[in-house]
Parts: sequence; C-alpha cells; structure tokens
Amino acid sequence: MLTRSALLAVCLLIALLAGSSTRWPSGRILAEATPQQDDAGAEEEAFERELGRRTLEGNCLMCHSIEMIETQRLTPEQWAAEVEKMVGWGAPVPPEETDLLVAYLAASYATESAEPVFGRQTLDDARSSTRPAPDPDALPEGAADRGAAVFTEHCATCHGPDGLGGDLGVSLIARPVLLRPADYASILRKGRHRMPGFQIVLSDQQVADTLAWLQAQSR
Amino acid sequence: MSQDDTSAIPKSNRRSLLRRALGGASAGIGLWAWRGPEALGWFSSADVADRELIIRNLVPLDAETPLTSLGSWITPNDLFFKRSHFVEPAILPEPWRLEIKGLVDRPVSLALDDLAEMEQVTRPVVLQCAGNGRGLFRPNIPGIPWAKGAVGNAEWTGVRLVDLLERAGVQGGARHVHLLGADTPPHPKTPAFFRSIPLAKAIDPMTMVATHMNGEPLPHLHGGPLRLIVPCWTANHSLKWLREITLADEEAPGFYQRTGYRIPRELAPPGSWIEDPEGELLPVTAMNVKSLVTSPGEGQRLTSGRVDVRGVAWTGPGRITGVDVSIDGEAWQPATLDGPDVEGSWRTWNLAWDASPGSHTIRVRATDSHGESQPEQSPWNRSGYLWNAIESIAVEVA
Repeated sequence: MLTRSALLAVCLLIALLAGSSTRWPSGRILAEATPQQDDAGAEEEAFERELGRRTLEGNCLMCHSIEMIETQRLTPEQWAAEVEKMVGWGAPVPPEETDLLVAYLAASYATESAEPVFGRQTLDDARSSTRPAPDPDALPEGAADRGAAVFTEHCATCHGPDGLGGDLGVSLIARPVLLRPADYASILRKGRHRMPGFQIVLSDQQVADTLAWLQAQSR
Repeated sequence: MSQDDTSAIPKSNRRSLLRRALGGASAGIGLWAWRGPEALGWFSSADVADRELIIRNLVPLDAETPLTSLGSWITPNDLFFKRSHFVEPAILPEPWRLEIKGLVDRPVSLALDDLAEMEQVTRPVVLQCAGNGRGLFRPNIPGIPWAKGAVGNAEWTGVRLVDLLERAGVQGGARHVHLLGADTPPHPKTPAFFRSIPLAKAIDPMTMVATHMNGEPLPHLHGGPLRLIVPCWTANHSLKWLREITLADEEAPGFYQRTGYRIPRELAPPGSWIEDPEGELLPVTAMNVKSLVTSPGEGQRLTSGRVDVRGVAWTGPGRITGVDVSIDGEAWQPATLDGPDVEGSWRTWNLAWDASPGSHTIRVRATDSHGESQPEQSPWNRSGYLWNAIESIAVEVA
C-alpha cells in the first residue's frame, strides 16, 4: 500500500511538473526576483490543488457527474460537511486525502466564486449517455452462469459479491450501462476513475459473460 | 393478480368501509371533483418552441424547465422537470410487478395488466420539487441549486392508491404506507430512496398510481412504468418506478424519510445562520402558495404599448383564489385567472399592461383559499425547501 501511494505521488509530481512548465514559463520564474521560498510555496499549493482535484475525479464522479459539484458555492465548513456526508454514504476517499479534497472544493467553488453557468439541452440530448443503446456487434453473446464465476474472480473484490457495490466500487445492478454494451465493454477494457482496465485480463467473451450475469441480477 | 376476496363487496362500499375503518373521511374528499377514465386532451394544445431544459446535473439527470416554457396549462413530457436521486433503473423487459405487503390481510402482487383492469382515473396534477428555489436562498445551501422551474403540471392516468390498498385489505394497526422504487443507490452505504406517506393521505382518492402522463405511457425518466402521484404535496412523495408498497405502523426508516425533507416548525428569519438544534423538525408535505411569470421572460426587451403579462399559480391543498400584479411597486392589480380550476393542479393567469419605455419590475403574488399569500421573503431553512417569495422579474421597454 505504501509503495502504491509513493508511486502515485511520483506520477502526480511528474504530471504536475510537465504541466507547470507550460503554465509558468521558467523564464518568468527566473526573471522575477521573488524569494525561492515563495515559488516553492506556490508550487506546493498548486501540487496540493492537483492532488485534491484528482481525489475528486477518482472518488466522486463514479456516482454523479461534475455539475453536481462545480455548481455549488459553499463555505469551507459546508464543503467539509458535504464530504463527510458523502464518505459516510460510501465515497471511497482515502482518509489522508480528505483535507486536500475539502481544500480543493473550498478554493474552487467558494461562496464568493463567480456565478455558476448552467448548460441547456433537450431531454433527448441530456439522456444520451444513459439511454439504452443496443449494439449486437459490441460483444459476443454472454452466458450468465459463466459470468458469475468471472465476476467473483475479477470484479467482486471492489463491486461486492452481489454486484451491489463494495468499499471501492459502485453498485452495478440495474445501471443504465448494462443496456449499453459498447460502453460497458469500453469501461472494462480501459478502466474508469479508480478502476483499472482489464484489456489484458479478460477476453471479450468473459466481458460479455459478466454483462449477462449483471443483467440477470437486475430484475 | 393473486387473491382478492373483497370482490364480492361492491366497489364503492369497499372504499367507504375502508375510510370509515380508518377514522373518517380524509382531507380532500369534499373538494374532489375531477374524475373520469378518459384522457382529457389538454396536453394536445401545449405548443412550446424552445425544447431545452436547464441542466443542473447530467448524471443522474436533474433538469428544470425555463419559465418561458411553462406558460401552457399542461407541461409537455419532454419539458417536465426531472429530479433524480439515483440514475434511472435499467430493468430488463419483464413483467413489472407491484407488491403490496406489511400490515395487510392478503399480500398481493400485481402486474401492469392487473392495474389496467381496475377503474382508471385521470387528473391534472402539479408536481414541484421540495427544493424548487433552493438556489435563490442566501446564504447558499448545499444541494441542487434549483431556480424556479422544478415544477410542472401534467395530466396523469392510473388507479387510485386506495383501490389498490383495498385489494390487500389494510389492517387496523397500519398508519403509514412505505414506498420503494426500483432505483437502487450506487453504494451499499448510500441510503435507498425509501419514503412513506401517512395512511390518511394514501387513501385520499386524489392519490393515485400513474401509468400514463399526458396521454402517453409514463416515460421511464418520469418513473415509468409506474409512479405514485400525491397531489398537493411536494413531488418527493410521488415516488418513481414504484415496486413495493408496505403498510406499517411507523414512518419509513432511513435518511430520506427521517432526516431529509424536513423543515423546522419555527422557520428562521431570512439570512439567519442560527437554527435551534433542538427545534422540532417536521416532514415537508403540503406545497405552499406560489406563482410564476412565464411571459415576458426575465430581462426581456419589449416594445411599449400593450404587453400581456402571463403566468401560472398553484398551492397545496385548496385552490388559488387570486393573483395580483404590481408594476414598479405601484398598487396591486388583480390578474384574470383562466384555465380549469382543479384542486392539485395550477391556474394560468394574465394581465394586460400598458408598458411605457424604461426599466420596469413586475411583481406577482398569488393567494389561496386558506388566505395564504406569497411573502416578501421566503423563510430560510437549512435544506432550502419551499421557496415561495413574491415573484419578481425585470424587463426593458423600448
């Protein structure tokens, strides 16, 4: 676990440094005669913000999309209470990341932040990502009984033995994605949020079998 | 349909028997005048050019109707606001079943065909999210920041809940009707949207289980194939994707009944942060009196001369008795109420205004049959429920 966290931190640092070179041209930093400490402070702050943003992306968007968060204008106390409520409701935010997440939310979506902007869409368009989308070519025909075994071996650790969700994974029962086989296959292959991709682990047939099992459980 | 031993008793007698057994007539029976199996066709005249909704959250979908699209007496299905706690359930084709259990003589399990064989009722009902207007409260409140359009009026068709309860036979100790839909929470620790209504409201003949909305099979996003419709109460009671009805002696357990949808008995003054933690919290039930201006729109530029100011007005139990309009703080003038007058639905209203060039503020205040009218400021409460301050829009006249 320690190794994983350390690895994550290194990856984030690399990503951040790569990003920072474009955001703050090194020339400007060098030219300005600001004390070293301030630069380090600013970078530390940006780093922490990035960590907070990633915590949000990895732990909040699995249940609801970003609008739910970015249209709120709350005080730090209100944000802390919201995060606590959501953690209580199963958001798998690691305890050591909670403060970073709250700080990120409080800084990004504060009471005094600019008014949120809301998009407009027809109902049809708004529903495009959850509407059933049958696609007979997306996957081979699955078998629920085989899927049960695949699910137990590869999915149940995070999504629970019954598919209703576990410590890290959301419930998969009666989710709209079960009626969108192409999306389902893509998520299993590439991963999403905190879920790794299973491209080299599961065959298309096995993916189809898990889908058949989850569909059978969704009645 | 499993068992129904009561079929020997004439229907009307059965209903009155149940009502008597439960301690007399419930509120609303005396005012209930709207019944009939046929679709009434009001929706056919609804013609709105702008088909877009304001998206508050995409997944699960929370979207409200722009006010300028709410002007017709009936709100079209695709423009009707959408409030979701969880994503709509992806249930594969199968016979949908509705279970009625708990404190009943005979638990029953009904298919949609069983419901179709029962006496059908159609009535126009306003549904409004309890949090409609939350985004207007200051200080800010966490939650979907609805402005004014999480409300709509549709014509619903289905069966009376009381008729369903009679098939199961309600036992003496039952006081509450628990409701559970097919939408499941995303995580085992997330509370299910488990709700209940008091038995007295459940047996009100206005309360129905709907299978159709504006003449169409109930759209899935609006709870199809089956949802409850609880007229006059905030729409959180009108549970979608209804699957289980359980008679019980107490309210439903869990967050959404015991913690959420509660409001202090003593409302804090606007802007107050201080809320008595010992103060008694009550469930949000009946809607309060409210109006909207649907034309002109906020900030609209008009030409001087006659302007038809139009809108809608509704309340909880009771009726709208008047809508008054004040231009730039001048005396309140009565608007003309039109459209059908049905309890649980809304009225449309209009007023001809001779607009002079300049900036103007149009204020509107509805009054209901209980003598309640919209306040200057809506009392702040920590969940942002029941906003109903006097409506106000600004327009420019050239």
